[in-house]
Amino acid sequence: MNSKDKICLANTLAVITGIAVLFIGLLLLLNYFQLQAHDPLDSEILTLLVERLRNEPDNESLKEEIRVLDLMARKAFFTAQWQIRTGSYLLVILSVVCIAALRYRRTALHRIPFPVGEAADLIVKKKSAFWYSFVLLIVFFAFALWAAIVSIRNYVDYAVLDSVVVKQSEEDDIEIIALFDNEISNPAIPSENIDTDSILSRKEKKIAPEQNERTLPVKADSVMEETVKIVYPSASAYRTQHASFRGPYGQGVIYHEDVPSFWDGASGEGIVWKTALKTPGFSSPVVWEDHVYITSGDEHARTVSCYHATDGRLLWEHTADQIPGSPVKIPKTTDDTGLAAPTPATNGHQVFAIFGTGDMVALDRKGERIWAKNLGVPDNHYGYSSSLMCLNRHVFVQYDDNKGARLLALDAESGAIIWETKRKSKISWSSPVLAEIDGKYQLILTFNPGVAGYDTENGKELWRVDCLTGEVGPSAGFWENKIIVANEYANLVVIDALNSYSVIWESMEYLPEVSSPVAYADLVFVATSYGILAAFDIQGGELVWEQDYGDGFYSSPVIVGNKLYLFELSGKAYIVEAAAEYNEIAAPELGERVFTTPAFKDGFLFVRGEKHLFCIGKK
Amino acid sequence: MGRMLFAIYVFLLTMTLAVQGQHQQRFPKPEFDSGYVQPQADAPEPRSGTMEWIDVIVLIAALSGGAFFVIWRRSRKGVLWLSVLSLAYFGFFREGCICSVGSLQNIALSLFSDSYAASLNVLAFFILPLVFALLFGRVFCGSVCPLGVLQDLVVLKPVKLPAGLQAALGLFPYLYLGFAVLFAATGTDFIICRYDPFVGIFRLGAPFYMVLLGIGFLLVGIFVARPYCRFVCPYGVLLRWMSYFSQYHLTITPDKCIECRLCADSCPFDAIVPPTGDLSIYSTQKYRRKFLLLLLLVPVFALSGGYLLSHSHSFFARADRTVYLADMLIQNPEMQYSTGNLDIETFMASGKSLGTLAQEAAEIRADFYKGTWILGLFLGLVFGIALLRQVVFRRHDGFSPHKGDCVSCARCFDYCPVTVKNQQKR
Repeated sequence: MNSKDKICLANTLAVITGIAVLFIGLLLLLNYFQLQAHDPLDSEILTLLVERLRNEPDNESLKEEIRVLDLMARKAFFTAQWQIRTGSYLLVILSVVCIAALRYRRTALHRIPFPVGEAADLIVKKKSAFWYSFVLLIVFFAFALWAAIVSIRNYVDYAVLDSVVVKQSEEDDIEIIALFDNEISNPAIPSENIDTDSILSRKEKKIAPEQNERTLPVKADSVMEETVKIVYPSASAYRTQHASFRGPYGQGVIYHEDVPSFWDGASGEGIVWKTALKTPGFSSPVVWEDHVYITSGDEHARTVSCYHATDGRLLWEHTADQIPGSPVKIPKTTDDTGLAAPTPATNGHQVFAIFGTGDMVALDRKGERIWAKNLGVPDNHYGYSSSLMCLNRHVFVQYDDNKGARLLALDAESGAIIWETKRKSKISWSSPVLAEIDGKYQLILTFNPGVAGYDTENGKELWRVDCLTGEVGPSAGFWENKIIVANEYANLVVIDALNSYSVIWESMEYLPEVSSPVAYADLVFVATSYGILAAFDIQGGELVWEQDYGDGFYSSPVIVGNKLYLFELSGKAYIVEAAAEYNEIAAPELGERVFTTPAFKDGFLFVRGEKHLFCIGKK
Repeated sequence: MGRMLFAIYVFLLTMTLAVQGQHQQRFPKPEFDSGYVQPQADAPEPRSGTMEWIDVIVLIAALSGGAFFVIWRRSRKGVLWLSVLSLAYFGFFREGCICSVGSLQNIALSLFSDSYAASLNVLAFFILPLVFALLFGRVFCGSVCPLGVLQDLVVLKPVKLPAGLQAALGLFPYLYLGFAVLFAATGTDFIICRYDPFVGIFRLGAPFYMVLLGIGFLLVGIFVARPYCRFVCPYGVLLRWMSYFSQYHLTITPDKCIECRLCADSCPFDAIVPPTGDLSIYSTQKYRRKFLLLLLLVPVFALSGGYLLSHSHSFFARADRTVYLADMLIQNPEMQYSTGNLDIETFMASGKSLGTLAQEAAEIRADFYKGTWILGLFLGLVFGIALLRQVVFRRHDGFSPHKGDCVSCARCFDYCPVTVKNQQKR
């Protein structure tokens, strides 16, 4: 085969492959237009039938018809996909052959040209290159200038967020009103307990509320409607209420008096009222004045209920639904945690509740929603269980899951995040505790790997002791500047807050799994999930006494007066003297299993059983 | 007939490849919870550790082969077939990934990010072509790079661009390099990969605009040889710098150039420097003054570039998803609860607060501030030096390849009568 024949062959190949490319190309184009006109994925008939099926869910023939149509659509789709894929491969292969043939032809026919004329003048080339480059430089500067102007004009100042969240009005002429059923003052809070620093004001017209935020329902004259001032209780005012999990500040030490020490669930003796709870929950009740708040929840609904403390009337019930970001698919939780494990918290004006879906709601005393938001669906293999805590205008949320650990302070009125601290921690189930150290309140959090204190104003981590491990459920205890933390398979640790947060002693003798330790009168009390209640000396760590009750404890021990109250899982309560000598005062039976921690009010004890909420006291 | 056929072929190739790119849709996910995991559609599967190193070995072999054919064998055929094999392996078999061009982003990110470290094979893909360029010139471009080879194969009717236009277009890769490094270093995006024009062809499927971009480059490449390599490729900038200092760069003639001018038009990339002759005519007061003036202006250009670009940092930072989202939500807080915007819905579902988002965005924007200052300085410097080069004259004797621009394709060998004579002697 001579070169002429080879060129001829190349020509023929180029023509044949070119025509084949033309043909396949046309087929692919046809396929494309056909798919554009009748997309099997977008079948109107199928959509209509599916719509119909929603109305007739039991129509079996309709289901069959949909299946057949769906199968046809899928077949059509995959056939089209196959055609496109095969066509593309053929197209590429034939294109390669065509290019190769054309290149061969070009090479074979190419002759080195005889040079004609001189090369272009160097100076002309350089001049041209200079001016082109110069023009590009000008274009670059013009673009940079334009981008700078656009940038400055559209600059978004992130600091504006802070001003929205923590904006405080400095106007002095705003009248102070409190929001207790339209009363002008709150009798629950003595005037000496009003913390003037926490009197925050809000100009509703100036601060853009979040969409779900509602203004607090104030029935006042038109001038008052302009501005609203809420008087938040001072930290000391919380001592007179049971506003959070384990009472004031979450420390487990209760300051109420005349608390009952005998009842009998079976006979109803000592039971002031009991009410059936429709939906399950592992949260404990909280009490502010005459209002008892409790949360419940399952995969269908999550609710906050408010009962009258003395007569047990259901005052209102609020369903936490229609919350933006709330998951459609409810996260899986274990049976002993569920979706309503976190205990709500209240500041007297508002009550806050959080659920295992990450939904959080703020309600006023009448059960009207103030705001609601989703904090992100917790990635938690048991279920989210950390309880809330209030102080001033802040609501604190310990939000530790498998994705990360956060401590948030939300604005009570708007739900806006005042500050947020990302923490180095593994997932945990414990709750924040407030403790006054050096004249200032700190949030004390337990977690894996330890315990840390956080500034309530800005969320800054003030100190940290790495002393825990495992799945941390118990919260911290606090007594006279000593911090007590414990967890099963870890340690019981007592830390001296006044001595650089140094560890005073550690013990592995009795460790709680769920129940939190409590301290009182130089004793540390620990209740284990296998039924032991143990008392240790807070100074030296010696085991002072131990008592094996047989059943386990999920409920946390609380101190009322000089008595320790503790419910075991069976529902039997142990009331013992919180002293160096073991002295059982009473062991009343509730007659229903108890996983939660009781709440108190002068003369009353409220406890959630497996199915009922009980009020115990003098009838 | 041939031209018409060619035109039809080009038209159809454009349309049909675009069509198949458009149709890389997938059947929607089943609406029931079956545990089915949707496969990644457009990116190739990750390689096993062994295969990653096989890629590196193939790269070394290809680079060595390129150097062998260019420097020792002086064989255009050898280079051509090696480049076809490289295209088949790195292009169609490896689907354009891993690629040295894109690897520079991994390196940039790993240099500036605490949470990212480029793997060793990525480092090898970044370093090896540069090392070979430092020794033998851009053999990577001529023999190995699938992007370059694909364009090289369609060079059928090359035309020469005006010198000025070519010089100006030659500055674009610096811009692209600068922005690619800025976006990669801030963790914003890998724009080289996102806008890789040929990856859609290698994978026979990509977003419509990418396929269209690739076909566009190939069509232009029929007349303007290797347009992506010469006027876009950011990695080419680094290779060009290395190649300037190459120890054993390709020469057109194996012996002394006889200045026959036969090779003058052989290079479709216009990378052959003709002899300058006597330069004394350019050594005038006028050029010296110009040189001094520009020398003084170079730092001014650099500082102005840095100052202006740094003031536009928030504009560029909006390319980052976090900054974009933070800006959007702060300016329109009501959008937090709007449905239909996937970014917003994802953010809301993540449980992050607006405060955290703003904090993250502020950090990214601060990075952009620093980055745009450096980028502005760099680009001002590049433009300044580009202007300065136009008033500097260097003597060249004989026809020689431009060490920076030559891609070592070896086309010029066959044009040199000295080479041909030597071959005939052999």
